[in-house]
Amino acid sequence: MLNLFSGFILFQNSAYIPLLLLTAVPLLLHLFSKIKPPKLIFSSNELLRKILKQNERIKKPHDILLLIIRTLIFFFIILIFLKPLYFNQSPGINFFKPRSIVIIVDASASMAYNSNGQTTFAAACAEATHILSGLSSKDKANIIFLKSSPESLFPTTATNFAFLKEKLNNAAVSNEAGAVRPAIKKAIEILQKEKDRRAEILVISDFQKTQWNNFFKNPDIPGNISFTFIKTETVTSGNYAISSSDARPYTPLPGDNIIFSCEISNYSSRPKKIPVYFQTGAIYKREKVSISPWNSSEISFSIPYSDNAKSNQSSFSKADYYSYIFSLDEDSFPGDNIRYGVIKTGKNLKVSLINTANSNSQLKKALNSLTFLDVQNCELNETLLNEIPDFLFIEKWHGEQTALIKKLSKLGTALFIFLAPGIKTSAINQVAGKIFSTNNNIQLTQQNAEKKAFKLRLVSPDDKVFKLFANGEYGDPADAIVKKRLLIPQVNSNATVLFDYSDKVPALIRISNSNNPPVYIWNIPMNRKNSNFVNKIQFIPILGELILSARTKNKNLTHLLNYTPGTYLTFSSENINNFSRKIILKNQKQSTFKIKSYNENGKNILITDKPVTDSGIYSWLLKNKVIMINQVNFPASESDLRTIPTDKINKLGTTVNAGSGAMDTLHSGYNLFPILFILAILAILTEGLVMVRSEYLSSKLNRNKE
Amino acid sequence: MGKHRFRFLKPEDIKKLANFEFAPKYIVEGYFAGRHQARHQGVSSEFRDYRPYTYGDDTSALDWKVFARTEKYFIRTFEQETNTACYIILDSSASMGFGKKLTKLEYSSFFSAALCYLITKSGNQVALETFDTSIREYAPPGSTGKHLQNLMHILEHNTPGNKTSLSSALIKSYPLFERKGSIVIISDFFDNPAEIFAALNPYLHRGFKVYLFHILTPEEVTLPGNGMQLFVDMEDNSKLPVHTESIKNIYKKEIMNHIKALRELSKRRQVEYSFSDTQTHFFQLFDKLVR
Repeated sequence: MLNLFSGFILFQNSAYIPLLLLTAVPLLLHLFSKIKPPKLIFSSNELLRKILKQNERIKKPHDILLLIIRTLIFFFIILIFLKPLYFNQSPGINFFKPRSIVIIVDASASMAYNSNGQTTFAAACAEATHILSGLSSKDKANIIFLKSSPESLFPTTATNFAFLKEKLNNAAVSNEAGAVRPAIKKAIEILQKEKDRRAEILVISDFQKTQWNNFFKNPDIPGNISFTFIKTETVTSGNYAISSSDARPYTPLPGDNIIFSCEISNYSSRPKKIPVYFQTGAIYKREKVSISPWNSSEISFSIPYSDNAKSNQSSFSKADYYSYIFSLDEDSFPGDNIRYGVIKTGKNLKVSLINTANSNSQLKKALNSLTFLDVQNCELNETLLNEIPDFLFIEKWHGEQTALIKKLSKLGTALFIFLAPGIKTSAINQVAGKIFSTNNNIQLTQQNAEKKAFKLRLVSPDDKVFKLFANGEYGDPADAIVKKRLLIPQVNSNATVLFDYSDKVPALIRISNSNNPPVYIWNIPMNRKNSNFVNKIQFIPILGELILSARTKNKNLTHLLNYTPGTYLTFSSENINNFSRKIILKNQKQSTFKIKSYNENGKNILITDKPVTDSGIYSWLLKNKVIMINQVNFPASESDLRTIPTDKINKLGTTVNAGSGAMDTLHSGYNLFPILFILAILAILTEGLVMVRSEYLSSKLNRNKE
Repeated sequence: MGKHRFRFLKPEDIKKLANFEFAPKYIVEGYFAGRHQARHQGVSSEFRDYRPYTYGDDTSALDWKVFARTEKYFIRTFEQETNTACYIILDSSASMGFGKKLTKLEYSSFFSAALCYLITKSGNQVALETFDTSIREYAPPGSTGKHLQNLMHILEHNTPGNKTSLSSALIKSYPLFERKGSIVIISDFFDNPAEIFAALNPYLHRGFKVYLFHILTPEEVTLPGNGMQLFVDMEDNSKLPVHTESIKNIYKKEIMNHIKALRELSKRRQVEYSFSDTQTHFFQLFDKLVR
C-alpha cells in the first residue's frame, strides 16, 4: 500500500512546475468578478436584493463548491502534464546520488517457519536477490545475516553483486536468536564510511516481537541513514514449542527418584491438545497435554529407581552423565519441537565444614556417617570459591566473612550456620536476608537452663523434611533437651521455624529463596555437654533429610547450563591439563568438532573453534569416556512468532511487504498518471452534478413561490 | 396653444385625442350640473323616484297628479348631473427616470398631459400631483385653459426625485382631495402592494374611482445586462453585484408575480389596473379609462 504521507513526489516534467500557478485561475476569476463588475444603473435593487437573499442559501455553498472543484480540475490537469512519480521514502534524500545499501537479512531461528512450501528465510533471500538485481552499476551493496553474531559478507559496501547473490543462494537459516542491535550497529558502521552517497539500510525480517521489541523501543540510529523495513509473510497459523525443561533433583545421587519436567507453550489463538514424548536411554514415555491459547503448561515424567533398574541400557544407578530428550510432533516450525537436557548423578555431595575449634566434633562425625557426602574441613576464606561446595557447614559462626558466605549462597551452596554466642542479628540478616522482626541490632546472648532444661518442639511437622518421621519409625524428631541456647528474637514470615523451644525461642530456622539455595540457622548446641540432640537416633536422619532437601541448582555445574545455537562450547578442568590434547567433542550424531585450547589463570580451557549451530547433546570425551556433556537448545525466545505492529516499525522508516513489488515502486517511483486522470474526470463529473443540482434547487424554489 | 408649445402635449396627439372622451360612467360629485350623475338629488330633467313629503321640502316639487289620485303628498326626485374631478397622481421618484429611449417619467408625462387635455376639453376638472417620498407638486382641480397650461408647466419641469413611497404620498394626499372623483395613479409601483392598497382604502371608502397605471421599461421586465454586473440603485445609490444569467429567470418570475399580486388586489377592491411597458403607445392606456 502506498503511504502518501511519508513519501515524496518527483516531477518528470519539472520545467512545467510554474504551471501550477494556474491553479489559482478559478479563484482569481472568482475574486475579480466580485471585485469590479461593470456598473449598471437600475431603477430599483429592491427586487434583486430579495431574490439574492432567497437564493443565497443555495447559491453560496454551490459557488464555493464549484470554485473548489474547478481549482481541483486545474490542479489535476496541470499535474498530469508534470508527469509525477511517487516515492514512498523519507523526503530530504538527494534522489540523484548513487546508493550504498546494506541489506540485513534475518537468519534467526524464527525465519525457519515453513509457509507455502518455502521457509520465511528463503523468501527473504529471494527478496534480497531481487533488490540487488534492481541496483544500478553506480550503486554499492553489502549483506549482513542477522544471527546471534551478525557478520557482513564484505568489510564495506561493494559492487560485486554476483557474489552477494551467490551467498544468498547458498545461505541457510540458523537455529540462533538474532542479535538485532549489533547487526544494525555493524550496518551503520559500514555506511558511515560512505561519502556522497545515499546511505540506506534495508532490513528483511519477520520482525518477530520478542526479537525486535527492544530495538524499536530505543532505536538509537543516526538521521543520515534511511531505513526500509521489508516484512516477510506474516504467520497466522501459530506455533507450539517446548520452551524449557528441567530435572529434579539438580544433583541426584545414584538411586534418587528423578522427576523430568518440561514447559509446553502454545503460541496460537486456539487451544491445543498435543502429545509430549520423553526419552532417556531406553526409557520412552508419552503423555498428552492440553494448553489454552497463548499460554503454557508444565508436564512431568517421574522416573523412579525401579524403572532404571529394569533397563539395561539406561540407568541412573551409577555416577555418570545422562541425557534426556523431550519432543513434540512436528509442526510448520520444527526447531522448537525438541529439547535436550543433561543430568549428572554424582557419587556424593560435597560438604565444606568450617570447624576451627574442634576438628572432630559431633557434627563432623554425623556428616561423615552419611556415605553420600564428601566432607572436607576448610577455612572460611576465598579458597572455597575454587571448587564451590554443595553445602557449607559453619560451626560457631561469629558473624565473619558475610560477603563470602553470601557469594557462595548465590553460586548455589546451601548454608548450615550454627550460631556462636555474642553474634549480632545484623550479621545473620546480611547472609540470610532480613529475618528478624526487630530493627535493632541485637547481640545474641547465651542462656543457661537453670532448673529445667529447655525442651525442643516440632513446629512444622508437615514440612517435607519430616516426611520420613510421619509413621514414627524414626522416632520423634523433637525428642531432645538443651541446656544452653542463644536468646534469638522472633523471626519474620519469610523464615520458617522448624524447631523451637517451649518458650517459643527459635531453635532451627530455614530461610528459603527461589533463586538461591536454603539457609539453615541453628540454635541447638552440637555437643553432648549442652544437648542430647546429637545423641538421639533421629539426629542423623534429620541431618540427611535436611541436606537432601537442600539440593538446588548449583550455578557452577556447567552441565546444567543451557547453551543456544551460535555460542561457543567450553570445557575447563584443572585435572585434565595433561590430557587436553586427547579430549574431543562430539554431538549425538557422533560428528566431531574442532576444538582449540587457551590458558586462563593457569587453567587450560578448551573451546570450539566456531560457534555450534545446531541444538543437541554435545559430549566431551577423553578416551571415549564422557567427561562432560553440554546441552544446546533452540532459543525459547524464537518460538513466539508474533510480530511487531507495522505502525511501530513505520516510526523508524518505510515499511513494505516482501514480494508485493512495493520495493520496486519505492525506487523507480509510482506513476501517478492513472490516479490523476481518474481524479480529473471525477472532478469534472462532480462539477456537472453540482451545477445540475444547483439548477434543480433554484427551479424548485421558484416552483414553490408560484 | 401654439405649435410645439408643450413638450408632452403635441398637436398630432391632440388631433388623435379628438376621438376620445374621458367619461367614466360613475357617480361623482361636481360643482356644476353636467354630464355625470351625482348621488345627491337635485334639479335636472332625469326622474329618479317618488318619496313622501316632509316639512321643509320644496313645495314646487310636489306631484299634484299623484295627490289627485291618492290624496297623499309625494315629492318627485331627480338625478343631479354634475361635472367630474379627476386626480392624476404621478410618481416622480428617481426610479421613474429609468429608460433608454424614453424614461418611465417621460412616458407617464405624455400620458398625463393627454389625459389632462382630454378632461379639461370635456369640461371636467383635473388635478395633478407629483410625488416621490412626499408630495412635490399639487395643482387642485380645475378645468380652464389656464389651468391646463399650469399642469403642462408642472409636467415639463418635473424631474425624477428621491425614493418612491406611494403609500405615504397617498396618505398625505387624502385631505387635499376634497371632492369625490376619479384617481389615476401612474407609477412603477416598486412598493409593497399590500401597503399601497392599505393607503388606498380611505379613498375607496369615500367612493373614489381608482385607476392604477403600472409603467415599466422592457429592461425592467427582463433584467438587463450579461454576466456579472454591479447594479446601482437609482433611488438610494446602493450597489449590488449580481450574476444576471443565474437569476434572470427567477427575476422574470418575480416581476410577473409582483404584477399578478397588484392585479389580483385591484380586482378584489374593484380598482382598475393596467400594466404597460414604455414601448407600448400611451394611447392604448385610454382604452382602460373609456371602457
